[in-house]
Formats: sequence, C-alpha cells, structure tokens
Amino acid sequence: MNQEKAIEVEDLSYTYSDGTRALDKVSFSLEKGQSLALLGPNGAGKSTLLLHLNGLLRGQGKVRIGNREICDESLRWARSQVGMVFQDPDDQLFMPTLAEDVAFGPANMGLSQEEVDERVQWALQCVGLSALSAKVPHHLSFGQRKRAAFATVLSMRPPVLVLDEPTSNLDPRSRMEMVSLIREQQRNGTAIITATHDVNLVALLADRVLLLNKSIVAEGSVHQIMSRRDLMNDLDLEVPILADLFKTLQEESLYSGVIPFRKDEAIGAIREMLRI
Amino acid sequence: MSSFDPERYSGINSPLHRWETRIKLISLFILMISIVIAAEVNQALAGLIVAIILVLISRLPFHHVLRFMKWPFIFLLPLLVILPFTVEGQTLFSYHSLTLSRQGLHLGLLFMIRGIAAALLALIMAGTAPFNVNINALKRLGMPGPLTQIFLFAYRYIFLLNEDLQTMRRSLASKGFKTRSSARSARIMAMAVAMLLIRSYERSEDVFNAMLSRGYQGILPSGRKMMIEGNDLLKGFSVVAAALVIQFI
Repeated sequence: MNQEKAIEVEDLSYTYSDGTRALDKVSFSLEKGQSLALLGPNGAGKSTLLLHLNGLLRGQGKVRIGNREICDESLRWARSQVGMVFQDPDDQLFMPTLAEDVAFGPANMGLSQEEVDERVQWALQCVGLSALSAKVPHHLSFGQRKRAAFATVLSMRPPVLVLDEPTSNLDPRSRMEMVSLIREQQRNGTAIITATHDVNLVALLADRVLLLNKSIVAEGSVHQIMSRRDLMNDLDLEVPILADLFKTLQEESLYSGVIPFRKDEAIGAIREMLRI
Repeated sequence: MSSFDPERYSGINSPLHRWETRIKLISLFILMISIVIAAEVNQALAGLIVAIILVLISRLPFHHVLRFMKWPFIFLLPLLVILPFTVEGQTLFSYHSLTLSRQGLHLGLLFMIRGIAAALLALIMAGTAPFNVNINALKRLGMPGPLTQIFLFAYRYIFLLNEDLQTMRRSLASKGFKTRSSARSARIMAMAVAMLLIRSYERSEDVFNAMLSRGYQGILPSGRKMMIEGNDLLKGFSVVAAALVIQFI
C-alpha cells in the first residue's frame, strides 16, 4: 500500500562527525492522516531522526516522502512537503514580525503575494494569533511563540508535520491548546510525527508509538506499547500515570479491563469497577 | 538594566509615521547632510529649528526624545566646553591663563548644534517606522541583500542574546560572583562571554536549519510592494527645499 504512505524510512543510519552513532538501521512508515509519537531517552536519536525527514541531515538508508526519495534533486520539494517545528520557537522565528515569519515558507514556495497573504491569515487564525500578526517575536509570550512557530509551518500546508517536543515548557492550558491544534491537523489528513518526553500526553497526541534508542526498540499502538513497564523502564521512560495506576490495580487483581490512557477512559473504567 | 527602544513609538499616527519610508529616508538624509556641512551657526540653527519642527510633527513623546538625546548631548558637550578655550582666535574673555576665543566658541556651538540636529533627524528616521520597514526600504534603495539579512537577523537576535546575557549574569550572581577589578573576575567574565558566543554559534546553526527547512535558498522574500503617493513626494520636496534654503542662508 505504498500509495497511502506519507513517509517511509528504510534502514536509516547516521553517525556524527565525532564518531557518535545516532541512528542504527531505523525503518518505519507512516500513512496519511496518522499520528505517531516518537519516544526515547535523551540521546536516543529522536531529533537526529526528525532532521532526516526533510533532508536537513542525510544519512545512510532511504527516506521517502509520498513515494519520492529525498535526494539532491528532490530536496526543495521535500522541504515543502514536510513541515518541521523545532523545539525552541526562537530558532524558528527569525523574521522581524510574526506575519513575515509565517509568510517566509509560502513565499519561498514561489506563491503569489495574494496566496501568501491568504495562507498567513489562515495559519494565524488556526493558532489563534491573528491579532498579533504585526508583533515582533520577542514581544510574544513563550506559549504564543510556540504557537507562532507552528503557524510558520502550517502556512506551507505540508502533508507531513514533524514536531520536536511541541508541548515542552508550556503551561497546562497551552499544552492542551497545542494538543487540539495537532489533532485538528491530523483530522485534516496531515501525517504527524511528534517527538516527546511527555508520556501522559501521548495518548492524546498520537495513535501509534515508536520507541527509539538509536534503533527501533518497539512499535505499535499506544495501548500496546505504553502499558509495558518493562519496555518503558528499560528506556528510562515512565508509564503514563493513569496506565501505571490501573496496571497496579490489575496486578493486585482489582481490575481486569483494558488499561485506560485518557481521563474519559479512566472514568469509564472506575465506573465499571464500582459497577455504577 | 533599562534599555532604550527607538521604535517604541513607531506605531503612532502622524504625518511622518504615514510617510513612505524610502522617500522619508532619502529626504531626511539630504537634510542631515545639509545641516552637517553648514559652515555658519545661523545655518546650523535653521537646521535645528527644522529638525525640532519635524520632531513636533512626528508626535514622538517629549520624554522619549529627551531620553534619546541625552547621549548625543553628553558626547557633544565636551566640544562646547573645550573648543572655546583651545582654538586660537579673537579673545572674548580672559582669566589668568584661560582665554576664550570667538572662533573656538563659534566652532563649539556649530558642532553642538549640528550634532543635536542630526541626532534629532536620526531619531525621526529610526523612531517613526519599525526597524524592519526601514531595512526593507534601504534594501529597495539598493542596499545589498546579504547586508539586509545581517541587519535583520542581528536585530532579531540581539534581544535573545541580551536575555541570555542577563540569565548568565543572574546565574553568576546566584553563585556569589561579584565583578571586581581582579584577574580572577576578568577570567570568569571572559569565560562567560565565551560561553555566550558558543551558544550563539549553536543557535545560528539551529536557525539556519529552521530556515532551510522552510525552503530558504539564500534570498529573503521581499514582501509586499511599497507605494509612493503624491503626498509622500510633497513631504519629500518640502524637506529637500528646507535643506536647500539652509545652504543659502
């Protein structure tokens, strides 16, 4: 079913110039409209993998966007197909005003001024920053800068979004706003890869999980991967708090249902336990 | 640490804020040249009066103008104090070995008035349009693209660099460090600055990656076209006419 694949990585390996092996024969694929969470400890190669997805790094192996392999000839096209949101929004907001930053990608794609303007308006509306379009980035709050960085990529309307720690350093409300933004893009058919340490948000962000520690350790649905303490602990990761609680209840034979990951699932499970 | 932000009032509404930036920059630059080449005090005074009128028209707050002008004033004041007593010429006043000359006083006043007038015009240039609008106008007037990018990125990241510097200073202070005139203090400050430079270098790599990932190929998008209207030209002619009149006084 290659036609449906938004992104495909095959035997990707990468070694930094100082000899550090960052990726070792990594292979996975993602279909259109799917959301994948990339989990792993610090130094597992998550950011390195993301940088390969729009050709900022080029290792051994193959990366295909749609069915087209990233190579010198396809590099410009690939960068218009894979929108990358970096962890630190200040790396991404380099133009003097927010509107100019959001216009940067579409303008580089060679779109007309009218089309660029339309996309800027749309992207800023999506992230709720329309009123701040003329603002200088350093006058925005951190949460606003995170959303602004997202808008700079949304305006390119890429079929694949790659997000590096999109919820890091955000307050709870901003985190949930970011989650609904990501899910909204997924509903619109965008394939999304999110590198995160926020295990409690994974079930809200993604359908599938890929555990990475230089090579792929495990891959599967959120329920398959995130409730496995052995896997998670081996990678110095935590099991999400709800899953951990119900796993303990399961071990003490107090609960026998499906492990919940979201609040609504947990409420259902508790009602089931109490037979309300 | 208080910092002066020249474009703080760039968003207010005045005839100078509404003036097309390219015409504004060229006209004010011509006026500035006319003032700084003025050979007579009355010419420079006329230029200063024009500059003050332009500041009043710009509606820039008085405290904002004063805050900016204190620096050129402090820089120019020694000339006004020293030149009258050091330049030889017709003696106006003498006390022991101190002699105040007419030529020295003339030069001191001339430098002072020319400098103040030029600084006021510079404030109007920088303060009545956002920095990026001024830089884009300069680009359209022929400033090389790489230079434009250097200015724009320097402007964007100087604030972050300042934030990093403040964080580093707080970190040093929290560990009991106090700046003293000792070799140890100098070494620690040098290491802190070096760390700041390394961080800046790393950030520049990250920013470059972010630019590449959004299709950057060495050229910044030029943005929307700037429109020159009759009103802009009229303002321009008026300022250039004032510059010419100053030369014929």
